[in-house]
Amino acid sequence: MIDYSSRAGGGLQIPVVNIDGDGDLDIVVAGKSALFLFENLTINRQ
Amino acid sequence: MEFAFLVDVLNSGKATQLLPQFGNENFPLTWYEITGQGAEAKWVGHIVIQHSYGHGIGLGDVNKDGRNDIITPKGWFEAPPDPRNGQWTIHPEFNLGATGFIYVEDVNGDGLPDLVTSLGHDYGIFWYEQKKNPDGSRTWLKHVIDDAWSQAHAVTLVDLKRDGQHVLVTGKRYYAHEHDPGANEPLGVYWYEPVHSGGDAWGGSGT
Repeated sequence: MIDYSSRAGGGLQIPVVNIDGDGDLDIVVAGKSALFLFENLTINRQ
Repeated sequence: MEFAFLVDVLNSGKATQLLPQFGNENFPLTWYEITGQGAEAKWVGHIVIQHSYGHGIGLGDVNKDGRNDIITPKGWFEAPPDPRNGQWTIHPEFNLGATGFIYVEDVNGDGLPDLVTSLGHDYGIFWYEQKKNPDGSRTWLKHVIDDAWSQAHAVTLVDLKRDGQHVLVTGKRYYAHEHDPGANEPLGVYWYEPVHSGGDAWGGSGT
């Protein structure tokens, strides 16, 4: 589980991309409830 | 049109064609490619067949002929050698319901591509195991990955851990329809990974 019972949902498409440029894959969810970024902390920002 | 994905219809290794899902079944099943450059660039549509086949769409090589096929909830369209001008052949071998994107992936490693998808307006994330019969025909055996929550309208298969193995990232779509089963239950974002102990199970981050 990444998140439960908040305003983050799955929407219609879930891009999983290295959005912050730190080398690991982050998750973006968007929909009628909100827009969220789940930042992957596997590789910490320099 | 409800949702669209960039996919590799031309088998070039790059997902640069657009494959929409048309809610209106009277609209032709169509994929689009971009032609020209700069100000001349435009999207050109290629019709696969004269009407659409239900809620959900996908792309992948079902029969391992090296060409990506188009998957609908009511069957898959086998790609011709020339995806632009050739005739696509429908194989109505399953009825998946109102899905989101339909992935083609060999989940159990038996060499036969399986399907991975979810129901956008009901409970469940599933994979369908491809089985080849002695006469060459195919059957598809449904396996539940999780059906504890509903409206998993979007699924992404991705190598999240960068270990060469795809995991499944998904989440509940907030009021996909307000009348869907479980529409008032809590939202969530989840990921699942295949567990190869028995060969066919997906472990969950669970609820």
